[in-house]
Amino acid sequence: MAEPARSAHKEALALAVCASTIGFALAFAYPAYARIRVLWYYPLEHRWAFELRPSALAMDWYGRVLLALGLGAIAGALAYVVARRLKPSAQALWLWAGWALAASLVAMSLYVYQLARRVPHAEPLPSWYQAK
Amino acid sequence: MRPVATLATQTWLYGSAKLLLVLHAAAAIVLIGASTHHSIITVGYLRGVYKQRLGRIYAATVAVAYAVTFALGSVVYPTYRYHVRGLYLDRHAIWASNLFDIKENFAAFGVPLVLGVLILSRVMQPREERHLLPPYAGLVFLSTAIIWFNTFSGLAITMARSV
Repeated sequence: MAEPARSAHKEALALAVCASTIGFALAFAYPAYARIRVLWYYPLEHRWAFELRPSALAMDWYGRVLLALGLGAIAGALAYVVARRLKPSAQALWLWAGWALAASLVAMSLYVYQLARRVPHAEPLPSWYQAK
Repeated sequence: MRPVATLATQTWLYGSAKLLLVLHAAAAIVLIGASTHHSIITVGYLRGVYKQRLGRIYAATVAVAYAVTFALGSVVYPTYRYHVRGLYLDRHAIWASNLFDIKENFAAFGVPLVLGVLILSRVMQPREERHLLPPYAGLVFLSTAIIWFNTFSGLAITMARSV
């Protein structure tokens, strides 16, 4: 690869990494902000369901991770294609890096805000359970 | 003696949960060490000291250790969710239950950061391409902060109750 092309490739990669981070953060945070269908895992029933609300003890973390990975990858790929055409300046890269960090920090703060004072509901104790 | 869950309340890999958790912790020890060293190397990049080969090794080590830690944590998670959180933490240690959920979400946010650092570390020449350093350093420092937070949170939670 010639030097200018190699340089454009690296800058496009850097921008794609930032865009992917933004896409991931927004996609991962969105289900915490708005109710949408995600993939739920029922650990006691060993089954998966794509639904809005679970009907029993279930975990949506896997579903949210998969959703965010998918959208993050799409955002990164799109950003790479666009950045190869419009060579980003150093200032643009810094700006995208700032947005990537800001998006991650805001999304993380949303979870801290929602979870720090949560009052969870405990599961009923089964007959075999012995307090340790 | 540890009570044995009935078939109806057994989660996936319930019997191996303790072993998997020890391996998860071992991977986290590698991870916190590698990420801290990588941050120090990155500070060096910003100050004009370029230990690039070491930087690439640490970036790869962090990526592998993160993947292993993340995968093992994901595998133990169903057992934690019912036997630890559902039956105990949600009743007796709500702070630990909430801290765990914050930690698991932070761990997810670390995935694109660690992957991005790995990709950039393979192509970037920090001495010649200083304009790529701010994105790189930002990703490295935030991922290291997440790893430190998660390692110590995990330690505190397992002191409250474990699988």
